[in-house]
Amino acid sequence: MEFPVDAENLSKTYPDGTEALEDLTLKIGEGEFYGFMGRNGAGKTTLINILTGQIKPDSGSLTVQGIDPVENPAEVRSKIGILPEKESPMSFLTPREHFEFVGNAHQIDQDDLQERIDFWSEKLELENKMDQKNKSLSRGQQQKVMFASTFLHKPNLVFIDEPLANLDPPIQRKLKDYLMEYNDKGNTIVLSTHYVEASLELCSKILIIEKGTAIDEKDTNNIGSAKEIEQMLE
Amino acid sequence: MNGKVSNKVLLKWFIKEEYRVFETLFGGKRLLMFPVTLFVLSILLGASIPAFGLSAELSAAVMMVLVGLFGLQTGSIGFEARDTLDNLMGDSERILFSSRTLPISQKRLAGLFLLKDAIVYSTFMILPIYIGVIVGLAASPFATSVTAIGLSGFGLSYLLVILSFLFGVSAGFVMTTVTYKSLKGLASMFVMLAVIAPIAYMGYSSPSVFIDSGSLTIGLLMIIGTVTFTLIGLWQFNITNSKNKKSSHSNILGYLSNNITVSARAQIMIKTMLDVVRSPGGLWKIIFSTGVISMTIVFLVQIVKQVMVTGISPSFLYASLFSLAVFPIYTLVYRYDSNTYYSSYPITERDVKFAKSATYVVLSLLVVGSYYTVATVTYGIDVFSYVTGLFVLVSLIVYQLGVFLLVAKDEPLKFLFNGMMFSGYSASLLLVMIPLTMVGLYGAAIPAVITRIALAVCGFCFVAGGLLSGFAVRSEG
Repeated sequence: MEFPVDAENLSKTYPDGTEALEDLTLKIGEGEFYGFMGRNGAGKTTLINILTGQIKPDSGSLTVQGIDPVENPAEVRSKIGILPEKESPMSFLTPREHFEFVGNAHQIDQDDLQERIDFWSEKLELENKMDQKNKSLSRGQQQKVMFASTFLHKPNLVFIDEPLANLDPPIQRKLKDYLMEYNDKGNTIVLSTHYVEASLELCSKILIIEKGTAIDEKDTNNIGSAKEIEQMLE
Repeated sequence: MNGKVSNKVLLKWFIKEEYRVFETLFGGKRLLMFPVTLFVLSILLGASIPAFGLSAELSAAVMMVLVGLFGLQTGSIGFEARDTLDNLMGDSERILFSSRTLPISQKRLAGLFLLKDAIVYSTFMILPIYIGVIVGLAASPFATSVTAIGLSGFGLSYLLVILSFLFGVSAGFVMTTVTYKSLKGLASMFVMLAVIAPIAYMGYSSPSVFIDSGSLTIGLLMIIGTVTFTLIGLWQFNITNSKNKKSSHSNILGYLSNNITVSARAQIMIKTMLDVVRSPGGLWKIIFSTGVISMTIVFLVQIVKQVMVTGISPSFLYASLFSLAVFPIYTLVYRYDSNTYYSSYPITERDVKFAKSATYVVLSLLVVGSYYTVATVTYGIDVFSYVTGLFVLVSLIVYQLGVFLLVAKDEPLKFLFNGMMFSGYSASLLLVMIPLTMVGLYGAAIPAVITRIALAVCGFCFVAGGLLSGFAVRSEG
């Protein structure tokens, strides 16, 4: 059986000596809503960056959608969606242009693309911001643009790092509903967050990471309350 | 949804983004005035060339070097200086860095970025400058027989101007992408030196090579150089997102800040130095950016020396020209934060300005002073001349500090794009640079009394710069 995400013994140490990941093994099945949980600096973002081909591991092997991201990062990225924690949309383009650029990069048909842009601008209440430079948008509005870009090409596998940061509660609710609906269609979602409630509400499985090591993998149905996870993280 | 996005489409997006960057910097219609302004200034420059009695060969050589230097800056800024752009316009994301999340390779984006630079700058900057100089030469009221030679010479050298720019862009690119610590970095460095050496030798030994029959050879060498540099740069290109980069430095500055109790001003000085040292490129970027300017000045002085029959005054010439290299240092001390960054701490704006100014002076004296010393000692001047030149250099460093603090404040890059402020800065600088450079150029032919007056001007600069700096540091807001 082929897993959309299949990683074995991943390790990564930064030049300053920080051990970000140590011998981490992970398999994520098709259609799962999988969460990475851990305290600040646990290694969640490093793991996502490695899985999406943004940085290389020091050792270990991995495939994402059957492709090695170390060897073929661009090919992997054509088959997945990535919402990085710290990225903003292109500062000097408008949200519409940003979507067009991302759509061009993913080779989305022009008519389809316009339809999808309209869908997202309405869903995220960006209609009157579509022709302003991204630079002039608020942090929350920029986050909306980034969120929509991640799903624009309808990938079967998405990696989302703190997707709800900077968003107001009604939009957070809307996006949570969208994520669950997207997952119900059989797509795989990998979420990294340190918000326990959000991960329990959305994920079917969570991986607890501490100091770069996988501590435990849990089925969220078997977790009684958020407090249980919080205690594990302490 | 299969296949790759075409280069044509990506290039279109790069050009659109570049247009937006300039539109943001200059604002709407003023953007269109930019090439027009360059054209008009170039007419004035072209018209004034015969007045200085410079030969067509020397004029062409100087133009090539300056255009190449501009290319060098253009090529390096997009890759090395994400921080620069952030400082200029706040946090910014560019298409060049989008490969992290999209199915486009870094190297492909880098190659297209260079191509975009070549197209945009050759069309909107080099072309108006080139045509302006030609028109100015033709219409010059100082026209002599030199002008006629110059016209035909410049006509033939048009292609070389573009090549010189592209050569500079590719050199800037390769210098910011090669990691010299690795074996392949060292190998790249040897190849780069092998490419540069014949071009530098030809340009130095015979400046006329840019407009005579040798232009074909040097043009070919520059094409080979551009292609080689681009290939090496793409081979080693690896964007490190500075925003996520972890510092690997533990140094004496960190030790000092942790272990010695110092005043707020000294703390800010240490913090500024740490910012510089820990940012991408570290201290090397100061040595590199001022080094490029210094090397260019040495190159130009060597060319000028050959044609000035009266003999130059190297201490004056080097000191006044080297002082131009302090601008990158001033930009650097304000690159990583502004005066308002400290407003949430119990630190006054006066403390910040004082500390930043002191850091600028220390770095300028160390770096530019070193280049001045190497250049003059290599030239073989006596101790008295050396000290005289050092006095000129220190005066100009202090004078420029006063001007920077008044005009550029804590946004040293932004003021470059404000016509009024930039004109004010240029006028203040030219006011003292022109007479000092003339003293340097004509050396022995200048009467002793004029040299003394020039030194008095330097004394005035020192005092004026000090007073201006003191005034600017004391003023709030």
